[in-house]
Order: sequence, then C-alpha cells, then structure tokens
Amino acid sequence: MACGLRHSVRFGFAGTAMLRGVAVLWMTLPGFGFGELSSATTTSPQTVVDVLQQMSGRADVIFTGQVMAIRRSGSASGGTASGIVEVDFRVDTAVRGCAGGLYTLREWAGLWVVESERYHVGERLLMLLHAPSAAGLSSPVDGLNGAIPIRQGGSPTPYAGPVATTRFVDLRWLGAKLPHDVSYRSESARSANDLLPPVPFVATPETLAAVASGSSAGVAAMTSSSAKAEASSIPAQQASVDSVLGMLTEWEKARHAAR
Amino acid sequence: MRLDSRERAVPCVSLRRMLLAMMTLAASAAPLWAGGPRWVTGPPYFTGSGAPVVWYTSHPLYFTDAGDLSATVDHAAANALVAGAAAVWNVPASSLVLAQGGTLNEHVSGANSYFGANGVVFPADVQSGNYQAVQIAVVYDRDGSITDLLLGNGASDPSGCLQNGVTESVDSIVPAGFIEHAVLVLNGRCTGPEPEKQTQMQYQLMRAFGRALGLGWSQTNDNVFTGSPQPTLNQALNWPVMHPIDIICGPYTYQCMPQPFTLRPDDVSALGELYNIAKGTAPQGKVDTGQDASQIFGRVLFPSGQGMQGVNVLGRRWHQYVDISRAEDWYTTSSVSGTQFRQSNGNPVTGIDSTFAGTQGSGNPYLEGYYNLQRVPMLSGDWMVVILETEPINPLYTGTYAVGPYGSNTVQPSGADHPLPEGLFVSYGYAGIDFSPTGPAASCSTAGDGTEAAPATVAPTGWWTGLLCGYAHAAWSSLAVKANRSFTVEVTAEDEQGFATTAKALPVIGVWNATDPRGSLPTVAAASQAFNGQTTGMTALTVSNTQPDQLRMVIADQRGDGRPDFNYQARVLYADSLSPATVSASGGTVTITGMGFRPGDAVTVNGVAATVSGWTANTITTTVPTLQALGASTALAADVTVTDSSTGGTTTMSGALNYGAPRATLSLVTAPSGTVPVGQAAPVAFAVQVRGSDGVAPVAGESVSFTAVSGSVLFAACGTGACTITTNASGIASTMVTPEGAGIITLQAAGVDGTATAFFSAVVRAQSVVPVQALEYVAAGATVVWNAQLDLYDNLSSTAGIPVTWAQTAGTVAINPSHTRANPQGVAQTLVTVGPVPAGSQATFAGCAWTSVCATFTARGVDPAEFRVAAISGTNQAVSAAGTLLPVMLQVTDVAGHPVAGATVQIYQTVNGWQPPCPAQGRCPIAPTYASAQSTVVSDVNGLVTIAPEQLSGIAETTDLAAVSGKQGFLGLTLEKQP
Repeated sequence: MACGLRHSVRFGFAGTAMLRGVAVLWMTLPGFGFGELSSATTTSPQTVVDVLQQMSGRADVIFTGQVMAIRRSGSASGGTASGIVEVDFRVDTAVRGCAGGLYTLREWAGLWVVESERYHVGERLLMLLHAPSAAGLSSPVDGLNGAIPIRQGGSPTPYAGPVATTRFVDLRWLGAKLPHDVSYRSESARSANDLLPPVPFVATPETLAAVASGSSAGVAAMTSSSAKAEASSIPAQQASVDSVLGMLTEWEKARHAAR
Repeated sequence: MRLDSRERAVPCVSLRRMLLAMMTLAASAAPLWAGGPRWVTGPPYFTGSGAPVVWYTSHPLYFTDAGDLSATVDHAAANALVAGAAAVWNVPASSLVLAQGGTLNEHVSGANSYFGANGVVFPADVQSGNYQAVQIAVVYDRDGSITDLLLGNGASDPSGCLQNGVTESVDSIVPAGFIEHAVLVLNGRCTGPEPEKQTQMQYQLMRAFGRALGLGWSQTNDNVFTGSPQPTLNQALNWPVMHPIDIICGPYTYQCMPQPFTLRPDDVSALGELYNIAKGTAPQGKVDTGQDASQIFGRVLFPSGQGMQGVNVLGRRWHQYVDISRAEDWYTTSSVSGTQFRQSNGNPVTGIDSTFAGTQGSGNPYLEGYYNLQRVPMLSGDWMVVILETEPINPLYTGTYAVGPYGSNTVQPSGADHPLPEGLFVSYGYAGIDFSPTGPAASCSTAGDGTEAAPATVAPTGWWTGLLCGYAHAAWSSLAVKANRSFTVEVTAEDEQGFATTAKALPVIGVWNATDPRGSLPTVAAASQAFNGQTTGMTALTVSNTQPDQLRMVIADQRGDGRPDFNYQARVLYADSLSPATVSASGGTVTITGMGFRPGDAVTVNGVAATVSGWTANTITTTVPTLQALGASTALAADVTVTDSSTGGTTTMSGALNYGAPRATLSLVTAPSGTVPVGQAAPVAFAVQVRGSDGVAPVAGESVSFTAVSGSVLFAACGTGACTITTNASGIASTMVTPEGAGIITLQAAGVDGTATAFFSAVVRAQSVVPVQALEYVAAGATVVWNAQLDLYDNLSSTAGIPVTWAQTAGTVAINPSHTRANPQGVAQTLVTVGPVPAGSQATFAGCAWTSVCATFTARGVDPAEFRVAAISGTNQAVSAAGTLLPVMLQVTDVAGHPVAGATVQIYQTVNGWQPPCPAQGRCPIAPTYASAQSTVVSDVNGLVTIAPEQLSGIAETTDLAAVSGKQGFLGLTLEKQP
C-alpha cells in the first residue's frame, strides 16, 4: 500500500514528533511514490517535509557544504552596500545545479548591511538557492530560510564507549512556516490563580513595600517563563543529513523523470 | 522614597532596589534610548558608541517609482499602498514623520538597472549618493526583474512572495550613526486582482519600513507566535508589529493578527526610543514621548555585578488599587538587556571582528546588562504598577530574525524569572531598577587561568573545567609536545548544572608556538567556529606538529564574551610516548603515556586495532598487533593512534612504534621448572621450536645446541651434559633433562634463529623412615602382638601411599600384613606377633620404604626376676559406702623402668568390713571378711594392667589388693568405702 508522508506524521507548530522519525518512515514505506507527495508543492504544506519539498522545488541550486571564505568587494563594507559579497562553499553533497568542489555564491551586498553576518566561516549549511541572475547574484530561497543550518549532536558519555553522533539538518525555521489556525482563548479561561499570591493582593504602595521587604508573597509570573520562548516554540524538527539528502535526491529524480 | 529627579506621583513607595537604583543613576549617565534598536553604534566604524542608529533626519521622505506596480496595481494605487504602510509609523509620541517626498525620475526596471563593475547600478536618483534628495527609494518592480537581479533568478516568483514580496535594503549608514538611505523593492508579481494581495504587500512593506527606520525585532507576548500557551486576544493585540517571524494561518499573514496596521505599545516604545520627543518639545501634532507614560530602565545583573546580556525583560501593568488577579494578562513592552553593549568583541583566535556585527555596541560595562522599557503607557489613575519579568530569547530568533545583542546564537539567561512589581507613576515618571534573576551563577573565579604572557600548564590529567568569566576573558594554557605528534583539544560548553549546551558560551580554540609574538592570530591551528565537534556543545581542534614544541593555547568565547555562566570542560587528548618503543615482528604489550585518556579509548597501529587492556587518564596499556597484521614484511616505524570514539578526538604518534624485521625465530615450547630431584629426569622435556619468518611455518633440520649454562645436567637425547639436536618436521628440538647436582640449573637452547633459556632448581632427595617405637620389652617366654608404626619422610614429595614392606630379621616374629602403605599423615603400620623371646634375647623385624630405606624394630626378652609393679592410677581411693571403687591401673616394668609387655600379674583381693581407726589404747577390732578373690592378668604392650576392685554395694568396707608379677614384682594397696 502506498502511503503519502502527509498521512503519517504531521509537524504542526505544537507537535513534538521528530522529523528524524518521519524520515526513517519515509524511507521505509513500501510503494512510496513521488507523485503522492508532489501535491505538497502546490498545496498548503502540512509538514516540515512539505515545506522542504516546496522550497526545494523553487530552488535551482541545492547542496550541502561548509562556508570556507567570505569576500566583500565593491562598496560592500562599512555602512554602504553597492557591491557584492562572495561566499565560498566547499560542496559536500551536490543535489541540483552544481557540482562538487567549490561553489561561490554571490550576493547583493545590500542584504549584508541590513542583516550583518548572513554566513560564518566554518558554518555547515544545506543551501537551497535561486539560480544566479544575469548579474551573477543569487540568494537562498525564502531568504535565509533557504540556508538551513547543519548541526552536530550527540551526548558524550564518559566511560561508556562510543555514542552515535550525528549531523542533522535544523529545520526549525521551516517548521515556523507551517500554517496553523489562529484562535484566542478568553481572558477568563486562564486561571487567575496563576497570577495570584496566596492572599488577596491589591496594588497599593503598602503592598508593594511589603513585597519589596520580602514580608509578603511575591507575584507569580504570567507564564512559566523558564519554558516560554523555549521548548514550547521549538519542536524537535531536525533530521539527519543523510535522510534529508535522501529525500532531496528522490525528489530530484522524480523531477527529472517528470520532464 | 524613590528616585525622583523627574516627576513622581506616588511618594513613599519603598522598593527593594531603591538605593541601588539611586546609586546606579548617580554613577552613570544612562542613555535615554534603549530597547529595540536594530543597530547600535560602536567602534571602529562608528564614531560614537552605544547609541541607536537612526535616520539623520526625523523626517525621512520616501519617493516612489514612476511606473505602475503591476498590471493590476497602477501607480496611484501603488502610491496609496505605500502611503498606508508608511502612515502606520507616524505616531504622536515619536518625532518621526515618514512621508512621501515625491516620485522617482523613472520607472526602475531591468532596463535601467544592471550589474556594473562594482555591483548593482540603479538609476542615479535611487542610489545612496542621492540621499539628500531621496532618502527612501521605493521601487515598483513591475515584472520582478529587479528582485531577480538582486536575489537570483526566480526569486520574484509569486510562490515566494511572503519572503520576497518586499526587499528592503538600508544601503547607507554613516560613521556618525545615522541612516542616510534605503531602498525598498516591491515585487509586482506579488500583486494581483485579489485585493488581499495588495493588503499583504502593504503589511510586508509596513514591517520593512519599520526595519528601514532602524527598529529591531521584538519578542513581546511571544506565545502568540509559539501558540503555547494559547494566546488571548489582548496578547495578540499587544504582539508587536515588529515580531520577528510571521504566523502563517493562510496565504496572507496579515490576517493572522488582529489590527495588523496598528502599532502596539511595544512598537511605539521602540519608536519613542529612537525618535524621542523630550518633555516640552513636542511640535504640533505630536506629544512628548513620556507624556502619559513611564519609563523603566536598569540592569539585569549577576551577583558579581556583571551585567547579564541577552535577557528579555518584559513589563505588564497592574492598575492601582485592584487585586492582582486583575493585572493585565499581557506584556506591554519589552527590552533585551545589553542591546547597547558589544555584540561581538572579537577574540584571540579570530582577532578583531571586522564584520558589521563587530562594530555594534559600546564597550561600556554599565551597558552589558542594561535594559530600557522606554514607554509604558499609563493606566487610568494617578499611578500604576509595572511587573517586571524576564525570559530567554526564543532560539529561533537569531540571524535575520535576531532579537537583542546575541545575534548568531541566543544565550540562556542564568537563573529563573522572578516577577518584580514596581510602583510607577504619572506622565514622565521613570525608575531605575537593577535586579538579578533568582539563582543566577554567582562565581566568577578564573584565578587558575593563565594569561597570554604567562599561560598555565595544562592539567596533568589532560582534563579540567573552567569558566569564561569576565567580559572578553580568555583562558591561556601551555603544553609541551614531542615531534611528530598530533593531539586534540576538546572544549564543551556547559550550563550552570554542568550539562553540555549550545546556549551559553561559544568556545573557540587557538594554538600558537610559545615563542610567537603576543597578540598575533594563531600560528599553529585554530577552531574559530564554535560547536564543530561531534557532540553537543563541543568545539574541537586537532593539531599536528613535526617538531618538538612548547605550545600556547587559548580558550575563548567566539563573541569575545565572558560571564559567570559560561562554564566549560576542556580536554587535551595527547599521546606522548611509548614504552617499549620497539617490539619484534610478533608485536607485544606496550604502554602509551600521555593525557586526556579515558576508558573506552581505542588504539590503532597503522590503522590496525590493538587490544587495550587498561586505561588511566595518563596511560593506556595495549597489546599491539603483529607486523604481519599490519600488512608489512619488513621492519617499520608505525603510527600509533588513540581515538575517543565518543567524541571523535584523536592523538597520533607518527612513526613512534618500531617493529623489528620479521625472521625465523626459535622459541621455547616446554622446559623443566620448579624443583627437580638430583638424579631424576625432569618430568617435562626441554623443547624449543623454530618457525620461519612468517611466524608460522616450522623450520626442520636446524641444529640446536642444548647446554646447561649453570649446574650439571644430563641431556637424555645425547646422554651427555651438552647436546646438539636437529629440529624435526615440526621444527621442534627436544630432550629430557636430568640434573646431576643440586642448585639452580640454567638450560639454554641456541640455534641460528635465537636462543631459549629455562631455569629450574635441582635438589638432592632426602627420604627416611623412623619407627614410632623401635624397641619393645617383652616378658621372657611371652607372646605379644605389637602394632608397629613407621613414619616416612621425603623432602620433595608427599609420603602418603608410599608402600612399606615388613620382614622378620631375627627371633620369633610373625608379621601380618607384610606390605602396607603410608596413610595420609605419612605413617605405615602393621601387626607383629613377637615371642616367645628368651630372657636377654631379642627378636627383630624391619619396615622398608622406597625398597631400601628401612628401620628395625626390636623385641627384647625380660627375665621375670626383673619385673617390677608400679601404680599408675586408682590407688588411695576412699569413697562413701554408697559409692563405687574405680578400676586400678598398674604397670609392669623392668628394673630400668621400661614397660614390659606380656608379663603375667597375679591379683589377690580381700573385702573386709570397714573399721574405725584403732583406739588409742586397747586392741584393734577385728574386721569381718566379706569376700576374697584371685585372678591373673597379662600386661599389654605398654606394660599396663587394669584391675577392677572387688567391692560390696552400699556397705562400708575395705578392699585389700595385692598384685604380684615375676619374682619381685609386688604391690599392695587398700581401697575404702567408708560409712
């Protein structure tokens, strides 16, 4: 039975499933066909993989590589930006529109002044690039969303022998491109107790003074701030480089076959 | 009392940090700006430092393209779209006035824009040099050609409109800290018949205007973006227009937030920071920024006093005189601490940061933890409370979405949020509040760190922990390495709990020769990008050197930062030396000495795995493979590599292990050992084997000379003390060995392919037998059964089970059995019937072990005239009449006291009535005789006889006993049972 990826696991914003698992599933599903997934390129993406596929579909150059050098020319320094910035990549795996070896991306310096450092020497990236324009300039698809970080992970375990360390593609920013419903809870739906000290607590100079002196209970945070802006917003959307390259390569084959 | 240099409405609100606030304000001229500027001045590019980069004029004008935006959006409609987007930024509380200045001289397109020698060339009035006339050029890219020119072919495709619908570039910022010029390119392909497309473009353009005005992204009510917890409408209404990343709820993101074209208080606060209207200076149509608002600023601090950068400080309001349950459930404004401080200070590894980030922010330490909620609108009433809270920056907000000063990698705040209610006041009120989160990292001790001028020696184990504390702190170490070695330095960033993390320090590593000039960039090796290691939070650097060297090494933060929560663990994995450094072709066991080792580290020799048997931090014991396993057939110097597979760290000693050339070898197979009796052949042969150079094939026909280097032996193969034997088809030469003298024997077998030596000890055997009782005295004429016992001794082995032969040698002796074996205690025994032996005569027999080691037993006849009788026990008994007299034991001896066996003893007993002692005067009473008896007994081998006294039960009586043996042996005694 052929199964589309979108039927297996969804990567909603609040989801916690890992793309890594999806990638494995995707690679092992019997009868999986590009045609079933290709609808992701024309419909609203439902998963991070859909987002990746859509972006890769709009890219003319795809590779993984490491930033080796950054050169500025023209007036692309200081506070002006009429020149270009050349970024040399050592291509580790070429998927589309480039060969191995060195690839030089030429960007309009205007992007660099406003965004300061777009790339860093030594950085590893999965690059989804537009084809160079007649001027030879290019940039990642969807801005820097198309320059997807490749990171290394794994836990050193002293005295426990080798551990599996892996390079993974950090797709969290692609996860932010997934559509989701916007709805609001009522103000009253939130328990007032989240905010309350144990006793009635009225804003007066005296109560503030008591708080200040430590003789009264403090005020609770509006949200659990240690968690906010951290785990809640960052589903573990990462996949091994190999699995992502596998998907990109399959899509590339299907693209050629469709021609 | 609070600080009151400006208007304050609520006196006597005592706050915990009042004094601190006063002191900080008194000690520093805190800037009025803070919060969310996109850029902040700093050296070397900017002439000032710590100030937001703003437009050189508060009335920047934009000029629109002369053409249409698209087939469906003509010039006028496009101008209306732009005007709508720009108008959002014209608010009373800010001095900024963003208005249209006119129209560009042309329609900008691919026809008049091109790529020149120095980059993209726009028409002259669009170029930044024309800033005095045109500050902001708005290009209507009707066919997408400009977008494609700048961003690449296909960038203008409508599928990418959410990203490329509007391209914004601020292309001139001058050293004085002012923006002079910007270009905004509107992608006409993103418009169409659907009005929502134009509204979406207006929304994107509004946000692009905000960026072009110098506003940074803001994180306020971020749960609207994350969805967790589900936001309220008020939170969405206070989610700033300058949020970093749009929510996507459909094709048009403007539809994903309520009132998308209305600035939030946080946006106005940021705008008020950059384009401030001081009190009493508002022109017509404007109001002072501080009117009907208050300002909170201060510092987030570590206990050490160092500012804590990168903490999002938020304020929410609490109306006066209401219960806290009615405090606002949304944040009004936010500010990231340290926004005005250095973003990137460079570091010793990469040097000065020459990028734009490297010129962002002031080096003034006061600003490191500085935050500023510039404009918190007042609630109704004469005062209000603002509750300060803190939170980390969302890790997604880096790079192009960066919020705050940590642009490339967010840093987790140290400690936990501790809501801090602060009383605030009427218009123009302000407060300076320095505070610390709950439980932040407190230590900033780096005393053990070396300096560039005096680096500290690396920890002897190669493992240590450290702290990059104090801004721009770097830890310098020194390490001596030998020639042709490589080593790996691993530095793992850790949080306050010691867990590896990527949300604290960004470790970088540099290595120099010790003699390199200070201040230079690394001359030997560098890891200039953090987290290049295989494990979380790890930066690794492998260094190779061909010459012996003293190295200088640094660990620093990539940004040049340093704080009390920048912990790290460091390790130098370095294999220094081998012992032994030379092995034969067959390999062997060697010890690697170095540092940074741990259990599990693997060893390879020229890439071939060795067997590791032990680890310490400084040593690894390993058995290296054979030369053949390395695929070599000649002597070589091999590379020895230690690898930590859990981190990927390696250290190699190149050409450090010397293998001997492969050749035939003579090796020992078996040899006598331990102790061998002199004169006896050792139980194990002395055997050697000769194998070919492959270590396997036997070599036959090779002469091997067997000798005793010390001691004297007899080699059985030749029957002499020296012997030459030829190896057989198995390559073996062998002989039995018999030592001929006592002492240490050293044997040697020598051939052309080697020598084998063996040792053993030769000892003269001592065996003896000792009778337990060698002489027995027997009554003349008597026959006695004698249990003869013989102790056997052997200095080389146990005597248990050794056979003993018993035999008569003289006189009348009968032995049964005549062959016995020693028991486990080494004693052999048999029964011997001796006699009759005439007086003065002897009968003898012998027990012999080991055939010839014998002992003689003798039975001597004793004349009855020599018998004597002695009491052994039971004499002088006096018991009650109800008691019982015990047996009496007597012994028959000869005159010399030797026990005599087989002697006949006559016993006479008379039982009389008990009588009291005789009176002092008169006759003794005559006792009645109750009974009498006579018996005969014979003494045993020990001369003993036992006599049961005659007695009457329950009657007081006297038993008179007389024992007679031989002619003179007599003993009389009386036993009493008294009334």
